[in-house]
Amino acid sequence: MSTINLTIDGRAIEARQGMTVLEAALAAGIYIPNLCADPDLRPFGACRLCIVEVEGIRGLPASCTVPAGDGMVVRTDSPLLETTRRTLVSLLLADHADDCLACAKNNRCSLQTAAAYVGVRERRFPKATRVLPVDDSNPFFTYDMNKCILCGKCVRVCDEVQGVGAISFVNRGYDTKIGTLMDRPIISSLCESCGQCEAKCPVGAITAKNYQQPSRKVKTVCSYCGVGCGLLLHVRGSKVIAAEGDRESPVNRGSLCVKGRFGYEYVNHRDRLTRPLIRRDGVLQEASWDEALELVATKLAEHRGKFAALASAKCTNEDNYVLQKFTRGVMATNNVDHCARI
Amino acid sequence: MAGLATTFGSGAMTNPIADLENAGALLVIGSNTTEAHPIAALAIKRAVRQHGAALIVANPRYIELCRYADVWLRAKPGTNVALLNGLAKIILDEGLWDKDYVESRTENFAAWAESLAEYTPETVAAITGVSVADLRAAARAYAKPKQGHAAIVYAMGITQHTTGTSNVIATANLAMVTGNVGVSGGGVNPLRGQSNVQGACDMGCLPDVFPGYQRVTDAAPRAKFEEAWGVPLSGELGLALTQMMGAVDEGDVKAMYILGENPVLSEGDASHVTHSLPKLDFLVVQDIFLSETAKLADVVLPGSSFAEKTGTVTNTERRVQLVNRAVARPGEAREDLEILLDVARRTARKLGLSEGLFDFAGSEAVMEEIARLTPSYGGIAHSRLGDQGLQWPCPTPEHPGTPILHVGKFTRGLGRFVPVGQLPPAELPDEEYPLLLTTGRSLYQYHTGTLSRRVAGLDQLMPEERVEINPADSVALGVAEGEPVAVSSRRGRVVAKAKVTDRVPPGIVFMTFHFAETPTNVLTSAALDPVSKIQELKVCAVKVERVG
Amino acid sequence: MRAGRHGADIMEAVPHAVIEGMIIGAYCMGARRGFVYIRAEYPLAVRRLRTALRQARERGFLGRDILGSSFDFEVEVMEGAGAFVCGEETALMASIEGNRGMPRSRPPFPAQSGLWGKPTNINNVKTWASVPLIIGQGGDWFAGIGTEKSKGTAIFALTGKVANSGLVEVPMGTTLEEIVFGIGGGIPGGKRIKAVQTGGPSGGCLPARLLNLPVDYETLAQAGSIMGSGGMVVVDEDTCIVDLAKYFLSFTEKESCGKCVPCRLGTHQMRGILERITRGEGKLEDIDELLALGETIKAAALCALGGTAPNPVITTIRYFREEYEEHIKKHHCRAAVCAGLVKAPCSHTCPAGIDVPRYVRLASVGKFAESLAVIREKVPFPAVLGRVCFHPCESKCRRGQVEQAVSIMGLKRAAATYGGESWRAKTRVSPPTGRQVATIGSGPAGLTAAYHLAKRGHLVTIFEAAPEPGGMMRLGIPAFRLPRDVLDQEIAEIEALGAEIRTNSRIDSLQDLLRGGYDAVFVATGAHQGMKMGVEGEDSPGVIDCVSFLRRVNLGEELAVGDTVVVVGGGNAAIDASRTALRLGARRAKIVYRRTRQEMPAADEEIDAAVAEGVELEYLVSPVRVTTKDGRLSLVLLRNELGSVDATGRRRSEPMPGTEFPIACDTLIVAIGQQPESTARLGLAKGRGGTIQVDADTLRAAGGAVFAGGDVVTGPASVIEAIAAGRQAAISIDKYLGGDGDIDERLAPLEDLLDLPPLEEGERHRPEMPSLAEGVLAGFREIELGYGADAAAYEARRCLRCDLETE
Repeated sequence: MSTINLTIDGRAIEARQGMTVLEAALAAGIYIPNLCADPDLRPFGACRLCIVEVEGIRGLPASCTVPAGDGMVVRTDSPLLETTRRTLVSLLLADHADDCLACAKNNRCSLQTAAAYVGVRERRFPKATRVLPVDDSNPFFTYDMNKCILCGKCVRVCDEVQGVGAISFVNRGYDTKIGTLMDRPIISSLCESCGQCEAKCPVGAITAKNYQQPSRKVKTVCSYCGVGCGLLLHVRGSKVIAAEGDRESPVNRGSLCVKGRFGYEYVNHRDRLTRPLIRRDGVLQEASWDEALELVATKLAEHRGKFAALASAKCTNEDNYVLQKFTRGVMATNNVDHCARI
Repeated sequence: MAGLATTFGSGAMTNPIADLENAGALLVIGSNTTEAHPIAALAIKRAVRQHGAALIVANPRYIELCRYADVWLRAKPGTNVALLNGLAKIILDEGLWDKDYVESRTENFAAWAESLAEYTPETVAAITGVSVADLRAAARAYAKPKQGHAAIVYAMGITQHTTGTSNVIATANLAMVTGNVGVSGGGVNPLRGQSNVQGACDMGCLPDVFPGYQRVTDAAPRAKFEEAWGVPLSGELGLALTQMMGAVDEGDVKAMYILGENPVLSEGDASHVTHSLPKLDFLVVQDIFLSETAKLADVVLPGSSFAEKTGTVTNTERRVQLVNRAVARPGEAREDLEILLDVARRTARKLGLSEGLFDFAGSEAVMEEIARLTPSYGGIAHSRLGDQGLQWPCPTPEHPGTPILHVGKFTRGLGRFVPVGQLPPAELPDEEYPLLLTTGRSLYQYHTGTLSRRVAGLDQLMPEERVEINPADSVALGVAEGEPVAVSSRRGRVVAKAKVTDRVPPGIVFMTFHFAETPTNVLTSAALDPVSKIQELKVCAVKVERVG
Repeated sequence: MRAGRHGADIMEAVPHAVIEGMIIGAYCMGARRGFVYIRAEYPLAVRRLRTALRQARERGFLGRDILGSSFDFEVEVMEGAGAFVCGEETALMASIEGNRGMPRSRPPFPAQSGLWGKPTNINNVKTWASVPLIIGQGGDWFAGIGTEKSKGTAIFALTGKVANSGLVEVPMGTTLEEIVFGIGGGIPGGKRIKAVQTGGPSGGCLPARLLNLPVDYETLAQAGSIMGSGGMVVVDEDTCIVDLAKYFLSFTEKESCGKCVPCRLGTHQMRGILERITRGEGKLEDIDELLALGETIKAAALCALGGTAPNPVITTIRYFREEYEEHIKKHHCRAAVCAGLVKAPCSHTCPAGIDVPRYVRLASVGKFAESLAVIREKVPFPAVLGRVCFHPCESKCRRGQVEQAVSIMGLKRAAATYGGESWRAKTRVSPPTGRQVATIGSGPAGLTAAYHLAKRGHLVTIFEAAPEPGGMMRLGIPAFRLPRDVLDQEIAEIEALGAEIRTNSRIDSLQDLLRGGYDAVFVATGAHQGMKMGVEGEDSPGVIDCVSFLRRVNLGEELAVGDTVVVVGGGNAAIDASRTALRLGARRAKIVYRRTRQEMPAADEEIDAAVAEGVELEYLVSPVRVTTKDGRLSLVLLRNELGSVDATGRRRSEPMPGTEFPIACDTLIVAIGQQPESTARLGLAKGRGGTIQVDADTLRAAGGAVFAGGDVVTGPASVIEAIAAGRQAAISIDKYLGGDGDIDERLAPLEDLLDLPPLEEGERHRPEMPSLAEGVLAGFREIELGYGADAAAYEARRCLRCDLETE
């Protein structure tokens, strides 16, 4: 792969062929504010915050759509760029609900970050008076277009990555918004509830219901189908509170389906078995571990050779290995199977 | 998987999921990929939408992938062998096959080619109900992609038949004759339904093989395991799950240990399971919920969910990946491995056997033994898995893993063409049971619902079973959308609401098996594929009646 | 290729040329597929194009192996839904591909990666249609048309306030003026051109004074506009420039594809600011904010739609900033169109703010007393204004868009005539304040100020240099238009309030007045000095300036003017002078004017009246010199032609050398304008043309207690404008003296609007104004006689009551 040499803010930068100016700058540790650029999505150029000055190019091109070129001389900061970016952020803020403290994306909101970076501290334009209805129809996430900045990440990920295309830009001009075909509630659209839109939304427009900030994230593998997507479980105390697609996983590269992203809830379910049960007088009753295990060992020992084991396609290799080893080595039979065929 | 083992020498997905994106053509047969394997479907959709790959979908039911398909082969259920043989015949007749590949990499071509004689397009069209034009279009699109190679993707839609093994062999034949095995963007790719089906098979949780598909009937591997474990081992084939119930009825099996499975809902002819399990003298179920199966147990042991344990799982593309403990177990629930080891040690002691067999410090230590005894896992160790995992075969600690199987050479040496013939399903509609039931999965629920039904949002998205029925049939039966209907087969009867849709063709109804309230598998047949012992869950004869 | 308005016209007329051009282009580029993107709103063009395509296929010009060349080419027609943004090439491609018409960034350019990722060449219909011609006649031929940098022709869709609208094709470099006046036939209805918007909704608005600009890419860009889609909208004085900017911006705001922030939200905020300005809620900083936003949008927008959307706003601020400021500071819309500011255009246009709809409505039901009271709420000269007002109200009257405007002036006279004196009972006079005000000048400004100040309880003295009060109302306007008793009567009302008028009292020092006990001074000395032509022989005997002429006659001097009188000029004064001359015994009176009647500042009905009395008019002539021979004067004139438009929106006269000719006369009256007499002695800051400089809002002169207004500040204007100045002066002076400046009164009760007679439908013409039938030129009797009460009520019922329009 050939490399490109360009100058950004007076620094000589090396970039890979095919990188945009924004990617080259970010890779070189030069921050340019941006709201609609995303490494998983095709360049879009809607928010215009990543505008730069490039020698030989008229106007202020968006660095997320300009391919890095050999010998290019780029400036990411100038009085004109600063003023323009401030105006752009002010425009977005005028059209944005301002209930930051009550917002699920508070403190992880890209609009907040951008406003802080470009230095917008007060309202410049009168606040929008329109109020769009909040779409609460999906059980896992909420669409509140009053906070939408129309970066299009949700539309693009739904189309480009998930291949679903449930949502799109609708209407024109100021009335443009993200919507479904015929403006139906999201639940009645083609939406497959994968939540990728929520994961990509940089602001509070699409938020997971009951979102809480995790105390840590644990890398693991999804427990559902055989694809084996990489997950980051968000954990708070002893509870799993969210799941995130692992962008480093070669399997799913950050994508998840509805079950992968939202199907963790059973882990915390009140129906979980917490003590061994033994059938006494025809009824399953709680028992101690020692009691239960002794009973199991005793009964199984009685039936050596007339035993069968059903291993689990949901359990680990190690679990299954031990079960078949037990069956073959202790119970002296090859009667071991699992639900491989369904 | 037996079909692929016969033809290629290894029964697993030949190519990585991500590699599907590189395919120039894709034949997706018997897989509702977007619902059952949504993330794998992304690679297929990307191949089609972003790289212009041709997509052939073979499925009796309309699935989302049909939207992107160049050709949709709506073959009647149970006619896959004819369909695949028919495609192969067209490919041979039109000279679209890869002579060099066939000559250098395969054997038994001539016999196989001869066996196709009767599968003329016209005959196949008559059997399958697919037009000759569509057959030809599909054959050409698969055999000669505009770019790259052609991949086959399949799932339970072709395996859950009495002819399941034949179906798989037929796909393998098709892939070999077009030179599509052992190459990027090609291959034969079965998608496994559960998170560790592949691993459970790899680990020898099958009645005929030790870990790593080493046959129990072969003396050498048996000797190896006897030596390693220090116990004598049986050389007799064990019972497959579906045979176990019969054995219970016969009194040949008296005790069972069921780990995290729910056969009461998942097995074909589920009533049989429900009837047989109580006949056991002793049933242990280890699970995290009191499943329908656990309710029948004598002892229930509370295990751990995936978020509470550490170990490995192997996904459908043979990638061994680390599962990491994220949270504490509730109450006194224990880690599954700990329970199993405890049970094994106690039982061994009672039988006077060495407890040392189960003296593992943890899952990492178990994996060390697996690696020692399983050639394809020889290089696997928890410490090597990292973010990417490793795809077996990975025979040595230095081996980088094997993304694509059969590159340059099949596992068994030469790929073997195996003639297979079209046979009717075990049960076909008749006057009493005039409709054909086929089953499948929904995006929003999982398996028997033990887990997904306990996620409120998922249950809200799909709260109950809906029997899909063609408008023509619904009119004939006087059934309206949303009305409850009774679906009965020779084995049982369930009630669910009707969903009138032309996703299913006339004469066919569709149900999932996610709902305990509507245990679809009481209807299905326990008829087995003679080789793989897979049940014919995709075809059985039913009747549908209005209720009330 | 794409087809908008003029493209559709080409396609309707010569679709074959377009197809031929595309085939040639495709052959050169190796293209195999062509598309014509055309709005579905042009069904005729679509049909004809399809027919032509079919014919081309039948003849083997399209399809496989064209004319045996082994070259394949096919053209498809794509009908667009008419989204404006689809004129942008990347949005157009998205639309053809079946996606939302949303632009994307370039690069890659269409030539690299266009439709479905294939190299694509996009051109206008006009360009393709030109290809066969250029191939046929050669590049040099084509380059011969147009300017150095902009070759070929430009096609404009000429619309708006222009006599001939439609599609116009001109060589590049043709001036706007040639297009608007030469081809477009000028502005209908005698209105003045204000501006031309070129380039469609995202083009720029160029003021009338730039009409001499040649139309080419570079010049337009320099002036802040674009060639754009070839739109050319002509707007006249009845168009509010802020409203115009708002209109165009609303369009682009709506048509924004919504993708990029500056275009979607920036145009929205700009439109919001414009809305507020047109509602009278604007702030002066808003103008800078509009410019700042406009620049941001231009710099940062993704595509050309956004990049050009602010143009109408930026150019209108550049060229018409004062109109924005009027909206913001004075809540005044000079075109009387901004609904938020304008209750009714008539009263909004009235400089004194008379509640016209109300008095007209009262007149319509015969309540002339109340009608008069409503007029008197604002002005002390109903009878005068009912005769001589130049009534700008009528030019904005909505009825005028049906047949003729309501005779608002005639109704004022009727009110004054039939209204009696009951209004006086309700008038309010405040208790004496003990403050004294001197008003210098007893014209309409001075008298009005005195009237209101007296009512506010101040002691007012009016100093008048002339022997009689009234200023220009007496000295400038002949008695046949304004009888002296009418004027005397209304001045007497002011005196009755206690204002003292001292005639023959010329003031030479303001300081003396202030030292003499006056707390404030209002200078309203008018503009009583005639302007000179600046030609040879101007000082000859028999040449007299119009102001002096009228003053002498109006003060009773019997001037001998001889047989033939020539008047130079085109204003009302020139008309008055000519008609006066006829009454003084002249047998011929002739007005010579440098432009045409359309440009004449004199009121239309005055010109008509003069013509009816026998005054001759000679247009398009300019004086060169005056000679005297044998006691007779000879005025040498040069013929003119109309040239470019000046800042007032009127076309300039340009002399044609070698067309000199003389006309003989006995008296030559120069009526080319007037200015204030020197006010140097008063020690006030001087403005242009001898005027006094004051604060525009308060009329306060720099420093202390002196205020000034009327013609001495504005230069020669109208009675009603002078009255308005007098009102402002009264407000400012009252405030200055510690009052609240509230001079408004309610002299008539608010009528019950539910009690109104229904609006009468259909066409109704203005009744003819009764006038002297005989002996018109014998003496100075008033010519117009005023409406009878019934006729007045009938006329009042023609009012459309637009002030009652519900929003």
